[in-house]
Amino acid sequence: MPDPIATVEKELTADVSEGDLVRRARDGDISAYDDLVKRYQERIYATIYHMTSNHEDASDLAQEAFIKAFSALKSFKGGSSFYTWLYRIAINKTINFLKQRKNKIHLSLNDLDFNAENDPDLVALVSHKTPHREAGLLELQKKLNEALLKLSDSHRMVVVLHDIQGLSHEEVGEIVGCNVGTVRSRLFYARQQLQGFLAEYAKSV
Amino acid sequence: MKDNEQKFETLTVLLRLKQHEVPPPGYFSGFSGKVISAIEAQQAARKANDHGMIANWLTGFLSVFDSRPGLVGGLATSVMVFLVLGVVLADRSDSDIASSFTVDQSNPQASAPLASASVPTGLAPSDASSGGGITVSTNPVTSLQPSSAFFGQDPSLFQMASYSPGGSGH
Repeated sequence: MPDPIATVEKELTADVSEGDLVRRARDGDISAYDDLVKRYQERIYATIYHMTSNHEDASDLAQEAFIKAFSALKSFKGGSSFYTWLYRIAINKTINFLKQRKNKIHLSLNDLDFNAENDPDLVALVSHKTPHREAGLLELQKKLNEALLKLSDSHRMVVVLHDIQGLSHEEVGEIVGCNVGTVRSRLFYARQQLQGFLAEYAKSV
Repeated sequence: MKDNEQKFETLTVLLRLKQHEVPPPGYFSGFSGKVISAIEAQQAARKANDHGMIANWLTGFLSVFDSRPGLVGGLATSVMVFLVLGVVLADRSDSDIASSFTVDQSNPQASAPLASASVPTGLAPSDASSGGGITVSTNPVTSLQPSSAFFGQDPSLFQMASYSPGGSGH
């Protein structure tokens, strides 16, 4: 169920161009930056969350990324889109955080939305495990997050950006800072690894 | 490529579950507010830091007087001197100030101050050619003055003697 306030805010900010908002924010217009935050908050938060599998960490890092982006806005030359530039800041922050955290993994997973239980493909994957649909999905969610955390940061990054966030290979390459070939090979390797970690589910279809 | 997609078809379905993970309801409605508050707090802290630097400088400056009380007297005296000077200068009438800048028309040199400055009084060309001339120095500190004046003698009191051999003398 989408948040009605967020939906209205999104509609209001959609009319103003990104370039105009960035220009105004660079001149110190806080309300323009507020619009930019509203525009990208969900995607930035989700990327960080899927990388960390921890809501609190993702929340803190997403806020820090937006704050850092505002203070660095003067250095934004417009060579890439603001969205790509913002992604890069968020990802660098996340990778630095993960390096510090190292192996101290603490899952703090978000709830699954109502639509998860109504996805027939997903339900089919868990139905052989338990007749209770929700319990099966929760277990799968935990296993899936644990499997993702077993990947290296660079491999997890391409899976999150491409397979979960739905970005193109080119966009992923621009954000991560490597060419499309590297993105493809990392993606292939990461998927292979994940398939191995989740073999019990992967076999069932 | 197509084989790869088919190979990972199940995995793609599994990863779709990640898209159903959502933060607590209403989380994003307050998110931008938190970011903006943090930015404003940072800006306020930076401003306060700037003011703090001035305050620190003043505190440090005043603490010098704590360790050296004599400086307070010195500073107070100099402030008083400046005040008195200010009052005296302010009391001077405009006419006084104007008269000090009036050009004396009787003095022809006054109309050409640069010319008068170039050749000091008492340094006539005849004097210069007669031993009491100008001592030229490359030292910028040394002023132009007759060499005889170094011995405390007024060059105007002397008359230059001339000698003509075989004559009756003078």
